[in-house]
Amino acid sequence: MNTSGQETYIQSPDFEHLAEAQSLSEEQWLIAFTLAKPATTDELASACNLSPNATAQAVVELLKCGLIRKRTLTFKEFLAKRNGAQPAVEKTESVVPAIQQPVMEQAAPAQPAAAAEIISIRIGFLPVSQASETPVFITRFGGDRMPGFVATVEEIRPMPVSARAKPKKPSTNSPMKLRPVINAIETKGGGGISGQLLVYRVFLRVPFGSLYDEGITSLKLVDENSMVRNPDLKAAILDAAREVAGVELAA
Amino acid sequence: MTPAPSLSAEDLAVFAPLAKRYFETLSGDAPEFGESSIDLGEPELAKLTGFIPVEGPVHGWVAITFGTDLADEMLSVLEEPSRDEETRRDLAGEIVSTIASNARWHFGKHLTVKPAVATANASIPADLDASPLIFQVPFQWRAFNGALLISLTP
Repeated sequence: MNTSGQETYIQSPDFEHLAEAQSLSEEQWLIAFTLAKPATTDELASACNLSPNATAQAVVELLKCGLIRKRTLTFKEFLAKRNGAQPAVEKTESVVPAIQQPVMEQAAPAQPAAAAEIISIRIGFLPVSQASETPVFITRFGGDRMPGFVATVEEIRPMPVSARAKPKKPSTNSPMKLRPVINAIETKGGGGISGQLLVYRVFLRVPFGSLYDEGITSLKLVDENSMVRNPDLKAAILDAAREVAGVELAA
Repeated sequence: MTPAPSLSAEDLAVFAPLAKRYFETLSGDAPEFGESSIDLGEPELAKLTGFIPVEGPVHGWVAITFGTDLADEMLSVLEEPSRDEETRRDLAGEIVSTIASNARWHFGKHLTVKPAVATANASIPADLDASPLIFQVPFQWRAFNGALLISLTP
């Protein structure tokens, strides 16, 4: 699970302009200037010799006054990070499980072990709107090296996503209403202050930077229309609800 | 009241009735607790705050914060003539010390309730720090406002 200590922050683009108007504590300035380079709160705590709580608190205040922001990745940076972290084959499998699996089943249903010998598969998803116009090519399987592997697929034409095999896990990309989640945890905690303290303990496990980015600065202000759109934040809330409060909620 | 056999953060809810009992016993009037909130950022402290550091399965502090108006009203109840800052800060310390003593009895060995500390300048003592998320419950005693705060380490 992503924790608040793993979120990365950096100075805002207009840091110098904003800084002129600010009056902050020494610790907050120290953190603000350390964030000339991206750093997580864990790294900041270590670099500035501050406690995790004091660091987190300072980061929240710096986010509020706009001096820093949570660092996001461009698509290129994201891919570069993944390339550095995982082997190519694993990467391909994890990115496109929905389309790869049917191809494998069609090609060699009785030889599941052969799938592990495939050298490379390159498959890309296209938006449905482009699906009828642009073919997706995949490289040849190593047919000679895979006895019993009958089919060699060189080209497939993409079909609408709805017609492809569904992923095993439910999608977590749709926004989640937050109020029902809080209500469920409160109820599990017996209601009243006790129930609200259980909600507190659950949200202590949620990355506070992501809460801030979603505009959630007070759970009291969460109403029936409050939505969580960030899939990572949504997953973190659901994980914390399950692990801390034993509340299972559908994604 | 028997010691809690195990302790969770939710057990800290006991601090609300303990605070209620303190005010009710001394003045005959119980405070009314309002709707709690969980807020991101620095806690909003009134001028006077008494802190109760806690350690155990949960770690952090519980605090009661209130203004000089509430303090002066309580000093009247206690028939204390002085109204200087030191007396008011001592009152904040006395309130949370009493609550802390009852909390020790309630939790037994399951939670270490450390000696209470008080501030009179809307600040947190140097040896305590606040969680990025603060739990707070406002209360009203007679015509005066205060709040119970809980800050736990994630």
